[in-house]
Amino acid sequence: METLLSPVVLFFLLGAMATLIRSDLAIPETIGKAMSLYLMAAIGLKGGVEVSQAGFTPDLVLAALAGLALSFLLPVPVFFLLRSIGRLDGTNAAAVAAHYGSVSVVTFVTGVEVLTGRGMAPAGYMVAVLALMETPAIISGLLLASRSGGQALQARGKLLHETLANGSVVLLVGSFLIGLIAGKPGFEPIAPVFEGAFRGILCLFLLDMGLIAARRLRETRSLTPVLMVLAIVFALMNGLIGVLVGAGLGLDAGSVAALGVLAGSASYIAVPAAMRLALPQADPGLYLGMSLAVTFPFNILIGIPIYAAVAEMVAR
Amino acid sequence: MTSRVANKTRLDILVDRPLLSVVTDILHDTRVTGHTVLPALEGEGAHGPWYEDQISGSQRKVMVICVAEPDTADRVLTLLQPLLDSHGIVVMTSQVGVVRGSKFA
Repeated sequence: METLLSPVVLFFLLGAMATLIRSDLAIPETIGKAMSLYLMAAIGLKGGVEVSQAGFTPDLVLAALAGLALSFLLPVPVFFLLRSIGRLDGTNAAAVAAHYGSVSVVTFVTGVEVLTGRGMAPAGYMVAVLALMETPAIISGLLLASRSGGQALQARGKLLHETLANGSVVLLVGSFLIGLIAGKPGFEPIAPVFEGAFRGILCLFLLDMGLIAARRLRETRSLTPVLMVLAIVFALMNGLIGVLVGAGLGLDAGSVAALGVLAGSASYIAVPAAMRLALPQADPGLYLGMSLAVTFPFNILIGIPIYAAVAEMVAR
Repeated sequence: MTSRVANKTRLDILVDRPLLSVVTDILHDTRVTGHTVLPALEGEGAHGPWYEDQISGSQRKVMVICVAEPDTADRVLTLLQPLLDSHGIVVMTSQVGVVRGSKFA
């Protein structure tokens, strides 16, 4: 309940409500994009600064390897559930599955805020894990598509470039490295921008995401009730797998919960653009509808507190 | 005045932003001398409404405009034809008059 009453979540609900009552409230797309870039730069910088202070620990390496493995493997059960229960063809199932192996930056940022409020702030290196988990799922999804007799992959060279040079990955990794190099003394002069304004801008961005998610849910024509249920099942299933893996590795409770948040989230920035290029036959209404209109709100409102609660129970 | 105007074919191609390079590659391959890309704000099609979408970017659409000789435009259409359904591309053609016709191959 405490989570639901935080300003971040309340702004998200305000955005969703505004769309549902057909208000003309709107945030210009360019401002939404700018806020998204700001949040990624800020979270990358803060993570880098924290790692510069704590140093490279074995936990960092373990969490990074776990993130890579989760991103690559989580699409597999998702794919088979979409084929068997969701009745999707191989191409669409693979495209959707890739989204569930990758991660949502905003879900992670919101999760960090919620966890910090509960006194279980995750380790700074989880930002690096976030960046590492963006892309392996794309490869996994494309392998699933080709193995299931889907269309031949389109534009391999461009896809490789899109995957490795994706703007969100470049910004996250780049700002993480800047934070790592600058350290706390270098970060202090710019902290008013990247730390002082962070929560306020996150609130405004969540307002925008509430508007976008509710609009997509209202207007989607691709989602069936079964797929909506699966979008929640995938979040819970993957999130709990992430928590259990994190606890098994002996990470601290905050980082365990953060790994759960990452595993339970679904991409709606890096993967949709890559899938549109690589599997143009797949329906964007399906993968964006499931990840953005169902899984994202579920995680913001219900998933994050669940992963945090389970992490508190199972972590060291 | 009229003698300065050359008859050409104009192509208006609506395509998802991530797939723009598929279209521009075809324009380069067919030696269309130039094109302009414009942002599209919103619309509605067979799959429902769409909007300028800078967060995910995957369904953000752009309009590619180019002017070419009718034969060149036909070659562009031939190459685009197999992609229309799979890539969700919309193409419109029109006959236009342009000044400085030599600039549009």
